[in-house]
Amino acid sequence: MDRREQVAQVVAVLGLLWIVYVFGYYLFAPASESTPLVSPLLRLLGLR
Amino acid sequence: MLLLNNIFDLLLLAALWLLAAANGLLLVRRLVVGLTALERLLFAAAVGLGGISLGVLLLGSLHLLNPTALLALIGLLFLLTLLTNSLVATLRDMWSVIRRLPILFSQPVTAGLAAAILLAAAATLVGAMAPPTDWDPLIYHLAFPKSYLRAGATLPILFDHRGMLPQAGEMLFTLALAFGRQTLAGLLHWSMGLASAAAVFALCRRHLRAGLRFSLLATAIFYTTPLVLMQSITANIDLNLVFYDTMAFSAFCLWVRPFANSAVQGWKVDGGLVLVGVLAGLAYGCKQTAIFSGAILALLIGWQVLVIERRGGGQAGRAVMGFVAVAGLLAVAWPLRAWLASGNPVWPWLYNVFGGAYWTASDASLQNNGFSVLYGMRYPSGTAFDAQGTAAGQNLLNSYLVWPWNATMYPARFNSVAKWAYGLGPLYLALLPVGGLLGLVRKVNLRSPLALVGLYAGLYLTAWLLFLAHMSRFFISALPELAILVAAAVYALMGRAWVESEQGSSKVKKQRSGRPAVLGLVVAGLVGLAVGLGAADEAFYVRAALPHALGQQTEAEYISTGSYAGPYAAIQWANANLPPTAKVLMGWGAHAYYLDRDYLYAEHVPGYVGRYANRPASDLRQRLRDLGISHIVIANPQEVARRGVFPSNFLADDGPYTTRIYPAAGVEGTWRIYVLK
Repeated sequence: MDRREQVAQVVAVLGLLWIVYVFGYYLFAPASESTPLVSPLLRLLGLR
Repeated sequence: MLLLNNIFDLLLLAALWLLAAANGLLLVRRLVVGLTALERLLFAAAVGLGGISLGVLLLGSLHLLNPTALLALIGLLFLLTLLTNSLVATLRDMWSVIRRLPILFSQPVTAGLAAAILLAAAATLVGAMAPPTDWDPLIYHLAFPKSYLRAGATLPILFDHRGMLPQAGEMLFTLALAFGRQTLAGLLHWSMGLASAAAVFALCRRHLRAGLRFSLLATAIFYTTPLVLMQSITANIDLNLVFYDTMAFSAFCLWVRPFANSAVQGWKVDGGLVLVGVLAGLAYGCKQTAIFSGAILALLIGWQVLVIERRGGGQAGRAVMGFVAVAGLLAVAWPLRAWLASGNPVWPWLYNVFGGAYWTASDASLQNNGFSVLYGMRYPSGTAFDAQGTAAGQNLLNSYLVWPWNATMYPARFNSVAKWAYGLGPLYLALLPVGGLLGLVRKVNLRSPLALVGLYAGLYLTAWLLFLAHMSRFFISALPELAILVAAAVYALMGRAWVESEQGSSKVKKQRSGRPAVLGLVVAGLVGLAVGLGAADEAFYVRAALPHALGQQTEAEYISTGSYAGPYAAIQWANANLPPTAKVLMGWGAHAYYLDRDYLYAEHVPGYVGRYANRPASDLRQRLRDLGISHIVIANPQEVARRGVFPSNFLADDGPYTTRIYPAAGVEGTWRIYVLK
């Protein structure tokens, strides 16, 4: 694996953390004014 | 019976698209060759629907806007397609596309994506069939067509600041409403969303030479974006713009690589440029913001000839001027109409440059504040805002840096209407930065097709940031390209090449390295979650409209169950009780769509009626009499003082100038109806 690809691997792993963070905040963060994607479903399930 | 009515509207929708595609084909097949059936259908339908819009406008300008003349127009177009054999060719294309649809379900991943798209389409179909209850359709998208039909002409509307905007979409609504097909009007906008999704798919297949899976992924990401789904169930015109912008960009992508792709051998280059111009011009007919996508295309055309092909400044100038001339020809009807009526081709915008009837510098300033470039560019909740809605400590730099986060997490701030608070979903913010970084690290070829998609999206967002109100629906036209970039980011993270050849393995870039399987699985899972939940959430959102779609509820029954019940009841009362010749002044926030009487809006262009707040009330009464007003409908009495039209004592239950006739005196009610004494 060349150096460029090693950097890409690191970026990919850090990127995954970012992606999970964004999803987590979007779906569940109490500070969010609205989480429209799933809020009705979560409400239906009693999770929000 | 009601169900049959809804099914009939669906059939009419299909017939209209077929007729449009068959007519558009007459031009498209002269300009380009070598298209796939799907591309041909999409390009032809875009051209055909644009032509029908202009045809309706022409009839309206000639005071011939009646069902008979419209039917004659449709009949003429139908005859033309029969005589030229284009109807048969279009039917053949449609069959060719339909025949291939089962391929989408041939693999588990593509089947899942196709199912999400289908679910979203079905859910939005239910919502789109529901009687309209949203602000913009009720104030103007559907209300103005009704006005035109009442007058039998597309008379200038200067009592509303949206009255002289380009109205290609509204012309299609006019066609539907001329035959009493309100549901068809809603379906027209819904179908533009679906057509845009198909355009994304076709763009991936052709321009990126992408495989089925990538193309469907990008399509699903675009179509299940909450903002797109919410637009799909509202009779707006934003998705018309998305469709035309995407088709114009698709035509441009074909034009820049006329011989690079064997499938378009024989492409007539100049014809291709004409098609880009036609579509960009028709896009302007949908919405003025297309001026930015048009400018971007002009820039890219010049760049292509001058820098990429090195054909010299003269050639580049000719190409750009050719594009601008064709686009201008297709768009000119709208600014011409506005200029003739108001003296301003983009009335009432650019007041400082053009001036314009009934508008003032203070109106322009108020409007600019309302459409502030910092709209939505705010800090997270808990921050104090000043009167302009900007936060303490906010400056241009930090506002611009945080907007992608805020637009994703606090979408309500980027939209004026609660329903459109359904924003971008998490995929764009989550994937685009990662994909961009990976692209940088791996040194993606800047002349690759994907880079061109990125460049277009980037330029569009830059124009949005610099020149447009920062409502997320104003960059909805960049979502197709952004969705493609998200799909590319997913592929980069999944460790696969983002380009697959149409045939399969031969052109596939080799996987550069083994990516931990868990990473790919997590990304795939989250993308699937967003796409699936986007579709499922929409289905949940529209559940109240299902009985109406299934024909178990009438319009009145449906609306009476929702928040628009009160206003609807007031308007229906007016329809039943006001004399047929009544002319109504609609006060702050009252929408005219359901009213079957002639009307004016009071405050949207306050200069039209006039500002009487500090003048004797008797002057306003005289002015209203001069305008032929006999009744006044006020939606929000507490806001009646806004924009200075009404003197404070003008409206009263039984006053010297007006008498309240609905609801009965003593009964509270938001909407009130007065008779002018």
